[in-house]
Amino acid sequence: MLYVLLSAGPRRYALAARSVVEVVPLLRLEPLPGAPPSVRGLFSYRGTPVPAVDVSLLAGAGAVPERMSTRIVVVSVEEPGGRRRLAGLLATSVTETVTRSASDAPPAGLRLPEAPWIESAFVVGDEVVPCVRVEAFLPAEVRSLVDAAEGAA
Amino acid sequence: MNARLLAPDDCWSRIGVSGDGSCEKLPELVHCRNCPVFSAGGRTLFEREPPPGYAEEWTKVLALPKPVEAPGTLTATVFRVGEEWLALEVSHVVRVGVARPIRRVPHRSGEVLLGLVNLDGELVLCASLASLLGVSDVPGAPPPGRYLAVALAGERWVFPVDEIDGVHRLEQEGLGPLPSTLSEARARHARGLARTSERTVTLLDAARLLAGLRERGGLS
Repeated sequence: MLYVLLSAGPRRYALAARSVVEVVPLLRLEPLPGAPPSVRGLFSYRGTPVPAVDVSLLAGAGAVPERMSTRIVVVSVEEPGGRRRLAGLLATSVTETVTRSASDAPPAGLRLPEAPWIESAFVVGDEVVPCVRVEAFLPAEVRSLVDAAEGAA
Repeated sequence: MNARLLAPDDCWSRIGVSGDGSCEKLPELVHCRNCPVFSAGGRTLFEREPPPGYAEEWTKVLALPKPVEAPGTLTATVFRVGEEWLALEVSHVVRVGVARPIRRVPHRSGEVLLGLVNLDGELVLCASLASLLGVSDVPGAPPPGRYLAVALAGERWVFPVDEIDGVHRLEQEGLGPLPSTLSEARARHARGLARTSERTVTLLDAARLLAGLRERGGLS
């Protein structure tokens, strides 16, 4: 299975490549009043309003800096009921992928009540890389908020 | 912020291809872009603050529907043999490198089949595309300085080439018919003429090229 490595603060996180739609540069974000701090705002992805979640903030490493290397990883998230929804993950230097085959050591499953978006971890070289679960990125209140926006469109 | 300040060492403009070329790794790597130091330097360039208007420009681009790539494009490596620019679909190209010694094969080597080349310890047949296709040399040009290693139906071959232009996208639709002025030898191995942004190239047909190599190389 192929993973995309993204940096947030000093650490790197892995994300299943099959959920990635596109990796785009940092765009202008429309802030959402009242949204959790990790949700930095909405952006228009090909005409659809998509919430951008700051992975660095979620990881406790401060907001993602505005650099040329800052990226929004547009992911497709499967909702209960089979619907798919787009979300943007803000991170820096999304430049590498890593392949994990069935013969590699299986990732260690993790259950962190404070960070439900971390699913497991595996080792790349000498680095332990937590693997993120895109389904858990968007806080529930943001989901309902974006639902309303989609309904209005 | 100045990118130069962030770069660890811009050795490529001192001892690399933009400098005096004295770097000891250069003969092996051929070009600085194959060097990890250069890649790392390139990455630090992206640690700059974006110029004003950068986010706005991308915001506009990403708000538009995704451009659909024409289905009829193919990707080909464009290279020069003698006076002729040729192209071969990139799926057949194994690698490109600096010319290496060709060992002649007694009673076999001729105009088309030049001999054998050591490629990672494997002996691979080396053939002259110039002779096969009847391409004339550029008068006074040095001997080919690069080689192109290809896999045609699983068979590896090496061709000496004069220049590599890189990988280009060619439009299958825009593939022009072969002009009648083209030599018969060249027409037999070609699929058509294609245009890159700079020039017209002859796109080679892998199956016919292999058949021609075997026949003219005295292998069939």
